[in-house]
Amino acid sequence: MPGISSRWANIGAQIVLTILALIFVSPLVIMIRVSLQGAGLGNYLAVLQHPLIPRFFLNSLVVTALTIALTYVITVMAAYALAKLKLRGRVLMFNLILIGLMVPAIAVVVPLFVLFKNLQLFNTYWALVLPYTAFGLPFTLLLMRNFFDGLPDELLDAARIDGCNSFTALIWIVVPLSKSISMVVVIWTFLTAWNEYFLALVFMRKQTMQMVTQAPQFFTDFYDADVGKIFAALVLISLPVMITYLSLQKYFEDGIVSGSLK
Amino acid sequence: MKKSLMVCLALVFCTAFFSASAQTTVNWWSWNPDEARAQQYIDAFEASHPDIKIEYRKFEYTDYLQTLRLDLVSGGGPDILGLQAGVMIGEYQPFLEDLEPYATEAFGSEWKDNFYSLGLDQVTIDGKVAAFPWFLSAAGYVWYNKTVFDELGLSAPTTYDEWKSVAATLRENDITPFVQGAKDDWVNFDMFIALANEVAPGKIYQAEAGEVAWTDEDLLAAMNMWKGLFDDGIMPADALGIAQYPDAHDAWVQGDAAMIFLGNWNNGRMSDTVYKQVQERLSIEETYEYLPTLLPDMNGDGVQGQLFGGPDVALGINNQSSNKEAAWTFLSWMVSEEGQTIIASGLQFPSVKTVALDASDVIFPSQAEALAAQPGHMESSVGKRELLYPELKTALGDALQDVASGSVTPEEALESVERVSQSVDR
Amino acid sequence: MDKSGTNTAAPGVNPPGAARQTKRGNLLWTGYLYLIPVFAFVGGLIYYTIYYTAEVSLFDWNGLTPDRDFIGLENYLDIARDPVFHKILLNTIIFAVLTIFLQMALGLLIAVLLKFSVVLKSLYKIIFFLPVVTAPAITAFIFRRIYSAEGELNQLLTALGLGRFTQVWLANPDLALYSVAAVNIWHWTGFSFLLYFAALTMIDKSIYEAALIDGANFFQMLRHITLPLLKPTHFTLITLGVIGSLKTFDIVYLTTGGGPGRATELMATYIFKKSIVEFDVGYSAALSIVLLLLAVTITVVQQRFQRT
Repeated sequence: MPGISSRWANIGAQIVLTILALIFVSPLVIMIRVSLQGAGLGNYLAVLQHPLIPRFFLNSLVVTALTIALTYVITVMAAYALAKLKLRGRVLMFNLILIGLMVPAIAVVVPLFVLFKNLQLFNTYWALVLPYTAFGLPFTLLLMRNFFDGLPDELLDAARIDGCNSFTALIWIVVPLSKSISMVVVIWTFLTAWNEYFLALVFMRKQTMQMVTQAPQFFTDFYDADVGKIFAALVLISLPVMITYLSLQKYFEDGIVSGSLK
Repeated sequence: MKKSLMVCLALVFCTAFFSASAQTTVNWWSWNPDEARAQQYIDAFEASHPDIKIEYRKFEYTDYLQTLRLDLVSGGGPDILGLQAGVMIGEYQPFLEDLEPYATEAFGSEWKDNFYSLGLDQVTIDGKVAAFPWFLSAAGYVWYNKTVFDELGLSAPTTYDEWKSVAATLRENDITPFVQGAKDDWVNFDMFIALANEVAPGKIYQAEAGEVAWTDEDLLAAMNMWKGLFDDGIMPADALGIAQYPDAHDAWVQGDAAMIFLGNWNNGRMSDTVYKQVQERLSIEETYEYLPTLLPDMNGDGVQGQLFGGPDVALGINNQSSNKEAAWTFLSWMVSEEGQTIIASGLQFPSVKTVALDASDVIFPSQAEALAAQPGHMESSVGKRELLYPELKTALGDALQDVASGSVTPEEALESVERVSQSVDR
Repeated sequence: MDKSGTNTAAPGVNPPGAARQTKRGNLLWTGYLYLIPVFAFVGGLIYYTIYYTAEVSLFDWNGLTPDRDFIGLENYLDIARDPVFHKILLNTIIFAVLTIFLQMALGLLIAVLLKFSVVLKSLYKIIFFLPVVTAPAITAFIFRRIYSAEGELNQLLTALGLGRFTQVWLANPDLALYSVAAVNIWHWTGFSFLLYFAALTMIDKSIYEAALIDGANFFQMLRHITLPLLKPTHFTLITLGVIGSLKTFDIVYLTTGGGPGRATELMATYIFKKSIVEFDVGYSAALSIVLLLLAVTITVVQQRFQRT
């Protein structure tokens, strides 16, 4: 950390981090305890051994991967255009897209249902990928455009002098520089697509097409819900997102920008 | 030779195809029961009806309300739907097939006599039999843990004073006397309706119908009793922050709390099969003796509370369905002796009079006695559990929580309910 | 070779007329091309949804029956007169201010601390992000337990000798909103942390080196270099925070149901209840539109501040 070389400062940081971490982790400890209630690890086994669970995982993986790919490509292009290309009306256009973020979830379901029923998209991956992308775009666009705003314009002008057009500048300059925010977008899109519950419930009628968020359904009951197994299922569901998050951490290392201007 | 062989093969294929397509699939959606229990019914039904296949889909309650609406509005939906009495069946009534002609044809003109009127009345909307009650449930029991009571030399309270002193003793021994998930409006409705019926049986239904003001002195007395439960320490201080299922119920079944206010849908805790599963799930080591008792006499008139209830789940046929005949076959089987026996064996209260609760699986003899007393309690039910008007329910729900938290006085609360009641379109 | 007039325009400068003329046939037009996909999705799905909702908001409808009564703007007038709505607005404002501010502050703190030379960095990163990934059903159940009279929070207070501060955190209408806000902060701080951490990665370390040579200390650099450079992240988080508060549903609905009474009722829970529980779909749709308008207004106002 620049400006701090003292050992005491580092120790102080460690202490504060530990206290905060303890506060944040305690509900999670309770979560693990609850997931082990009753049958202990048997809860996790019950979830993993359920015949449909692998299929649910696969479905979620496909939907999530498609959503990430689609969202990322569209977002990068749009953020670049709105942040760097000095287009007329760019603030208005950005705001028009941002409005998509302000629609409450419940208002979305009915019109989507009607539309997709008419397009006969039920039980297809697109029934989820399309809305996930559409409603995720304002968020990811916000992240990326504000990030691109922070990139110095001189970079692009230098690129232009070197003979790049807007597209090659995007691919060869902007995208490599935006690794950290790109990974935030990937993580976020993964998280929201993977954990989405209600549209997945409504649009996927066939059991073989259901998503991983439907896994707890086998253990619920109005009076006698098996809370342990439900928790075990939900913990297992959250693992892929955590794995993705961890494996992308290397993109948050320092030193990406410093050499670029030279 | 070859040609006739071909014809034979063709015939074989044709008959195979036709008999395969003679099997109809009936789609059944509901929030209750869970899939394992539903499978019991499906297996029994399909055994005697090989040409009909039942596909059951279970939803969480709010998911069910949303998904059902989406599908019905766009012309789809299941063939058989689970319905709740009160608001739900009232709103969905236009989508439900009138079962009267089916029933009269199948069972004869006296078919209604076979059903408890407590169930059938609440599914009859404007003269149309919109659904059949599948099983009944009544609220109004205080369920207590007799094992814990016995250890402390306590017996089930029959008056409010006894209730308070039992609670005090329990508290001294570090046991939460009573637990309620007051975050859930339906639980508070049950308690308030019970109190209102204790003071003046049936008056709350008159208020619901607009015949009596909600600020009536009897209802005010009930509201004061409700407040009293909190002030006098019967209700735990954190009641408004916990849910009935699983929070409150699990605390009670584990013995951390001694009493809970539920109904006869909780009978399963007295059944050996069901209780074993609960024990395993929650690592309960003791086999507790749970018993229901009527609401204590709250106003000193010597009479304890009565039950009130109706169809817990009703089953109706979607009038947009293309499988109405097959759906009817399934539905009539569900209310037949065969179907209702399965209900009774799970210690749920059947909706037809010809089947009795099956007490063979209880753990303690006292529980068999309790079950034997239930039909009598059901017969003398005061009225229903589910109120009809959604805006009124919302107002009452808020009122009960606000009185419990001390934010408003009972008078103020009932005044706001009355205001809403006057604006209801009856 | 790019034909867009690089020989006339100076790098980074677009003189009003000249650049447009030379670039119009090429860059400006292609610029809009980048936006076609996003508008296809947003226009196709999102605006269709908004249009549908706006239409429904003009009716008195239970969401089921084919006939519905046209009542024009009456739903909106009812909203204006609705005391519950006023309560909700107040709740939402309190909720928003608390959660946005604390989530940002904590997120930034954690991000900065993790740039020190500390050990177990990956473990900390996991712990702070796990709540973001935790399902709302789990979060609600756990916090109902933690906040209960015999729950872990009161147990902790008693153990620390602060027994007289024990409360019924969710059952007390004066505390419930703050308790729920705390749940939200626990849930989302990890995301603020992630954004700040990503943004800190992007800061060119040579700026710090230059400042160090000039004799700046840590806090001066934090205040004059780091914080200003994080402005895009600040504004992103504020925007997301405001909109998020208006849309917060699962956590609140599952933890308290909006209660006790309406103590923790927020916009999204009210919209849900009106539609699903009360079958008043028109009113619910009108509330959604109001939510949208509120969010738009606040965001536009915020952007004015941002541009200055």
